Amino acid sequence: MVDFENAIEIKSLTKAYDGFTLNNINFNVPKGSIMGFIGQNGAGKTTTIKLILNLLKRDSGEIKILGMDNISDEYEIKSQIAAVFDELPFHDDLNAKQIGIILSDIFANWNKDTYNDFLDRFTLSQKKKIRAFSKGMKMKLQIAAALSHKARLLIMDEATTGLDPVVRNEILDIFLEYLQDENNSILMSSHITTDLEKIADSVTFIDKGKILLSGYKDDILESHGLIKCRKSDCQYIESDDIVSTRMNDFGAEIMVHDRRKCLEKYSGAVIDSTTLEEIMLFYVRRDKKEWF
Amino acid sequence: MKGLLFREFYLGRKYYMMSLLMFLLVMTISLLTNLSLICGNLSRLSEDSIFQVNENALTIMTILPCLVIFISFCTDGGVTFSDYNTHWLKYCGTTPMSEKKIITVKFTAKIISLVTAFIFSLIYTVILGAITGDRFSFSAFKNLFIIFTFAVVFSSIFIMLSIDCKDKNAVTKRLVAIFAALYVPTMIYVITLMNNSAEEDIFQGVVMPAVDKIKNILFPLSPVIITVSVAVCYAMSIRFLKRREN
Repeated sequence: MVDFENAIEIKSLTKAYDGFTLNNINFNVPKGSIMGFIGQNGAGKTTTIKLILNLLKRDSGEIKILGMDNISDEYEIKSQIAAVFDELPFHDDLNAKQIGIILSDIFANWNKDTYNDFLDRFTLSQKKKIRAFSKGMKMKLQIAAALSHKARLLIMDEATTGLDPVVRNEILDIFLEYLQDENNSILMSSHITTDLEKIADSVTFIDKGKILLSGYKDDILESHGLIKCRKSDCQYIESDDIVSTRMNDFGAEIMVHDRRKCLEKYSGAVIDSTTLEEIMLFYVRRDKKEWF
Repeated sequence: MKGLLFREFYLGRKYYMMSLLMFLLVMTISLLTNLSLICGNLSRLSEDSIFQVNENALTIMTILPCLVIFISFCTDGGVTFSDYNTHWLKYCGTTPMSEKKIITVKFTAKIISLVTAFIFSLIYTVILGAITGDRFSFSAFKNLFIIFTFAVVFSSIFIMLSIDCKDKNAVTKRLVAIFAALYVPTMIYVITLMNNSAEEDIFQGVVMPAVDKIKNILFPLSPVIITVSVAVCYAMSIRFLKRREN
């Protein structure tokens, strides 16, 4: 077995489409951790995931998964990873039991008992056809399938989108359980930043094909801050410190990228802590500097 | 490969069952007609000078059950199209399953269904022989084997086109184009034969001897035709099944 520090290592990854370029992407997903991959629609999250899974031809760069090259060791890697998408990739005429039979033919490490345990735990009927399942049940089934072949890495693309908070929490608990084994890792792309705030160890923020932020979630949340002030006070904040400014009827909210430095520099200012959602919102509008 | 083959047949089960029912229905009609010709009402009618049994229609009817089962078993009831629609093939790209394995499953399932069609046709032919008093002959086996050969060629092309086009309409258009391309020279050949013949019954006197001639040429070549068509379509399907987008 290959020894590795990072479950995923991406170096200088580039992919150009007509009208969109994924430009020089670099980030790592440390072994034993969960990384949130955030960005608005069309930012390049799915393209990056497809490149990681070798479902898309890259133009340049290097991707290592579990210490192996994602192209030359593709099949070895794919026997040790699991991908979960927002839509169930199984025909809705099948039932959970039949899916187990099919997947046991695909994965050499398939564990029928683990799969059945997950089905019991999620109270998913083995004989009911998938077409009768709710969206939440379908997602649970996909996760049961993903975690039943001893996958070392779980790659999820918008998998929790459209699920109600109860199901989402149940699924997040499963992920935390999965991460109890320090050899397991998760890359989770999602719009729902509150979920990532709950469980992610690190976060990578992509926008218009470029990585804007990548690092430990706590460091990112700690370093950013939100100054709430009157519109007339905005002029005192240096533009180099500002990510962007949101104007409203009552004043202004300024996102700064170095909260500690700003606390020293602007001693009279109140700088609130911020959330991943706000960070994403202010970074997306960074080109405008001021927005409403 | 057991689980994946199970998937192919389970998803296509309604289509296969319908095809089988259709085969049984046409087979029953054909057997009863033949039975009636020997010892039923049709035998009495055919003795009557007013009513004559059309020999050409009887020949077609006799072979119709075999054609029904072979033609319907050639396709997969839309399983491959639904593999694209349900994102199954995209999912396969995230698993250790190679393109070769995906296509091998499709071809294996098809060969199994066509061999099944062959066995059913064989059983029908034997029963028909028992009714009509014609013992099962090598000529009957030859006929079935040639139909089987055509079915293998057609279904190999069908799998290849389904993988390439991903869409039912696009596959239909291409198949129609292929048939049109084959139809024109066939018709030219038949019309030439008819023009050069003085026979009154064109079907029995011209078409059937020509079919016999073609059968005699095709039969020894059948194993080669099957091998080449499966090998070419198999290789092309693997090439067409690009798990990787550009």
